Amino acid sequence: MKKYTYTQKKDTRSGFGAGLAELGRTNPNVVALCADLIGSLKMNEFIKENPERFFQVGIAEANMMGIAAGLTIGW
Amino acid sequence: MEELQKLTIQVRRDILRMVHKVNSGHPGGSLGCTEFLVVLYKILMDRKLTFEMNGFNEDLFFLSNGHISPVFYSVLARVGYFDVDELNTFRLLNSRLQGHPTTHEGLPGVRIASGSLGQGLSVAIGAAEAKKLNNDNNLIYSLHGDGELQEGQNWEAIMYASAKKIDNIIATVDLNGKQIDGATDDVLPMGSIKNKFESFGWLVVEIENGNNIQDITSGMQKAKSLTKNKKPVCVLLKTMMGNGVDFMMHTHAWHGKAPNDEQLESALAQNPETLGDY
Repeated sequence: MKKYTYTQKKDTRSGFGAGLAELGRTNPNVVALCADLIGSLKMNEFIKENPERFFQVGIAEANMMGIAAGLTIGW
Repeated sequence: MEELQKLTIQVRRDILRMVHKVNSGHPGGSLGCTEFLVVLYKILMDRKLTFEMNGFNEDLFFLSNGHISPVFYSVLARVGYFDVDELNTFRLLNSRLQGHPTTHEGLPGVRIASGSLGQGLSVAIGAAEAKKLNNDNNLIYSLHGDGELQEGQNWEAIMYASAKKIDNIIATVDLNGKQIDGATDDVLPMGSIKNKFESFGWLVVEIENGNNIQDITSGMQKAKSLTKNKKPVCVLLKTMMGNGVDFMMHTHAWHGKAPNDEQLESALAQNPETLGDY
């Protein structure tokens, strides 16, 4: 079994948000889509830094996945 | 115009021969959309002659009702994306021309898999967003069946497109009033599709004779003139399923059924060879 080292207490969603923000800084091709969960998923930092690369889709996950597929065609 | 008529007839022959050979496929909707796809690829789209998946700086087309792959493949081949002889491999094992379009096989001209209905508009909108991100002024075209609008995801996408001012898209609905089990009005009546799109904030253009090359061209040019104006554009294309083959018209029976030898002969006699069979 993999051993994990204790760093500090942090919820996974904050880790996700921080990771997404870091990706946004290091890769200009990264976009983010969200189905009405900006706060829950801690996406604010990414949005603040890359407003044009963020897509608020509303509560419509199927549509969100289709839009994500379409976005991959343009790069 | 005469050249386009010739191409249209040849595409009809391709469709009929493809589905006959493997006794499988969807001739009805394919024949109904033949003129539309010919006009789209020969007149309307500002496209590159060789296929590049990323689609930078060219108009893109997404087929959402993937079961009409015979007309899609024939037109793609006839405008030069791949050799027409490959139409011989339609629906065969290991062919790039699967019954419903896929991307893994790498067929030039195909950018999304489709066939599972109701997903194409979302993808087309995503590609439209990508064009905006890339400051690419070209347009996105998409085609959908009318029965396909029964899929709920369409309405998520339709809502999104107007809310987000996706104004670089022209989504066309093939309004033939038929789906595989019968008339759309019998299976699940949808009321006024025009009113629905308009109330969702779209601009709607109606093409009364969606099997007439001139009507399609002028209607689509009108649709094009409405783009880049902060609203998505929908075209309601009234077509005849099975168009060009007398016994396939005025019925839903040929939605997904291949003609037998005798029926093929009769259908081909109604559409004499113009540009050479594959």
